[in-house]
Amino acid sequence: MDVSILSLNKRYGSKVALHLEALEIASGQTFGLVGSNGAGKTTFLRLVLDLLRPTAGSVSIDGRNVAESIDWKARTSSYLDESFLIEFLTADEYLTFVGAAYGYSRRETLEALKPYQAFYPDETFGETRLYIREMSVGNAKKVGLIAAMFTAPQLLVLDEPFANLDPRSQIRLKSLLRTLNETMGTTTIVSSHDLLHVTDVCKRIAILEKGVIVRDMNTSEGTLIDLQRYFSAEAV
Amino acid sequence: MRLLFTTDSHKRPRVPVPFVKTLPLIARNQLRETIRYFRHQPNPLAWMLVGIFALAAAFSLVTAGLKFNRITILLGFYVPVAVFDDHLIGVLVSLFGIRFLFQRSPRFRLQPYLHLPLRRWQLVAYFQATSVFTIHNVYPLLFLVPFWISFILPYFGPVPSLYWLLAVVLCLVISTFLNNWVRSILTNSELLFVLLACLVWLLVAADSMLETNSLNHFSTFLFSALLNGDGVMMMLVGATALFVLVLSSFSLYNSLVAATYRPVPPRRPWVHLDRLLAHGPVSSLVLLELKMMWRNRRPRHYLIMSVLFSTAYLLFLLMDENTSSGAIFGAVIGLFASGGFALNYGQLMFGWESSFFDGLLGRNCKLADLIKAKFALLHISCTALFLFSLPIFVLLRPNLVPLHVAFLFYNMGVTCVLIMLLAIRNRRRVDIQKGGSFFNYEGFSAAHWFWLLPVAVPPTILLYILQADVTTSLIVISLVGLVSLLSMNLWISFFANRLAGDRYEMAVGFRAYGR
Repeated sequence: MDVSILSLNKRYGSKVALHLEALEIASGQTFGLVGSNGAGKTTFLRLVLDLLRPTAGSVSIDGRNVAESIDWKARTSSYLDESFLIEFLTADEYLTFVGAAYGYSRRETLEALKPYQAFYPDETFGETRLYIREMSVGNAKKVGLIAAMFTAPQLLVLDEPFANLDPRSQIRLKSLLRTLNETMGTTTIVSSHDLLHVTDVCKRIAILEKGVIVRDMNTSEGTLIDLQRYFSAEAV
Repeated sequence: MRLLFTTDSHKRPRVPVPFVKTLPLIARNQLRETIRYFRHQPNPLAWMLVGIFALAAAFSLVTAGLKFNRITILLGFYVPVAVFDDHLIGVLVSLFGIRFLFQRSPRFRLQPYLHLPLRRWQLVAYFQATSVFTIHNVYPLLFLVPFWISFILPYFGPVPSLYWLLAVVLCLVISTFLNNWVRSILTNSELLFVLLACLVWLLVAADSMLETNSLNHFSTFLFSALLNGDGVMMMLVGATALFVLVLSSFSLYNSLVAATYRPVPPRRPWVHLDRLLAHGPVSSLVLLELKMMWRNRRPRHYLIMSVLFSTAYLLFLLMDENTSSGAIFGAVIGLFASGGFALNYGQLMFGWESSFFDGLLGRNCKLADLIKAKFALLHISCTALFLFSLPIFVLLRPNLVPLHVAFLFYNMGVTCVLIMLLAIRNRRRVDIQKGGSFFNYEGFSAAHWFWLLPVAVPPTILLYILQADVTTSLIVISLVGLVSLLSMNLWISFFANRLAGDRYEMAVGFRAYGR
């Protein structure tokens, strides 16, 4: 699924949170978004998912405006923050609920979860007992990320997926994201502060500053150093 | 490079900070919270109306206190003090009921300070003390003090008069702390609360049925003794106030300690129910809502209250033929007997989901399915409460069974639709887990207080106009409900469109109030 942004603008009062004249994310591309706190990354992701009303402009997925159609939702999955979790459910219940929204039966859900068991080793899918609110922050996040991935989406939108995860889980997550992209052709949009992981996972990276994309580059061997230089210069 | 941190740690304040220093900070925070609460009201007109009503009520209370003899003469009694003393405790008990429904728990206010290096006992003491300064204590005094000036002070001498006033104030203080204690009980053990509530219901019912009027006798005995200058009685009232203060403070403190660590209980998730019900998105959403209700404190309390209203409360209304006749009571009985849950729980729908509303919108969850699930839940609740309360009607007032049936249709067809119309206006986040949050009114707006009018007034008017021909009025009420119920697909489509239009504002509101 491809994503097209046209004259997208989001203001909060007089403050411009995001202003993107044009942005195209091609089908199957892995697109990383980096930037300082408050740069507009989450606002951008919320606009892509139609969780915010844009002040002007539009986001289209496969040529259809996200605000005017819901067809895209059946093939899109996301995890932005804990508001995507239902914390009074167990992992099984939550994932079954998400599966049902995408037309999966309980059995199909459990089957689809098998490749993700290693990413969440603390409980066995099909026998989970802990409510999400009783899990550690990292485990709860893993459940949210699995919920976003197991439905084999054509478009995957993740905000800070590596934060709060232990190193082993970060590595597993990168592997899962790569597999999804390579086997399903999933278009992936990832926002992250972790430059190393984002350059590992994404083939294209944009730097967002004060609501505007200031750099847009294809990932190469030198990208990580470029990004580090950019943000070091900013810090000084 | 400029140093951001200094090493002169000896200049830091000692921990824990003396309470005298932190007290003004907490007081300032409370003031700020109150001011911001009023500033953020989305509908200033509604709050202006509330203000005008409040002023009018205050003026009426002061006047009634000063001229109470005119009211008692109208009722055929000529000694206002005797009438007053006879009913004072009863009135205070009734006010306690109102207080229990509306007064916020101090525990709710304490929580933001628990992680700070402050002694918890001092926090408890401070918030207990400030809980006395509530509108629930101010309003009674607006009547009581003028009454005291007009009818006690001039006739009973300074010391007995002072005893009387002090005792009344202490009764209000007792009522405040008793409320805090009952809420703490509820926080710690819902079962104990339900047992206690049943015991109180039974005592009041026995007192009423046996016509012993114990409350009136006790009230007369207490306040007559005080007006006779009985110092021992005064000390007893003071001691009771102190006892309730200590009791509620201990209970509040213990509930804070208990809240810090709760082991995960062994449980079996609803595997069988999941397999039985979770077929398709609508039943999944209904199941989700049932789980939310059962596993989270605040929605569970609404469930308990709905059952109490529909059974225990109904039992009282139906026992007394004088009160349960007439249009208003007919409508109240009809609305709450089968629609209690819809009225209680339904008004905060969507707000209940505020913590995961983004997740619902962002995923492949159709808005029409969401509306269908909510209507299904409300309709199931109406039917369940109807069946639950039907034996009470059959046993106590079989002549009201047709009213019960008529209002089942009305509640399913009309009340549920009106409640959905209110719910779709919700923009405030609700913390479904918040401890000690029985009736904390988080998530409410002025609209929720006024919404009972469009729900209750039309059937009341109809019952009143057609009171000579009750059968016709009940047929009309049933038909209105039935027609609306048969148009449910249109309603679902209407509300799904409304939800699609309002989804951004709802999502923004649900995010903002939680952070």
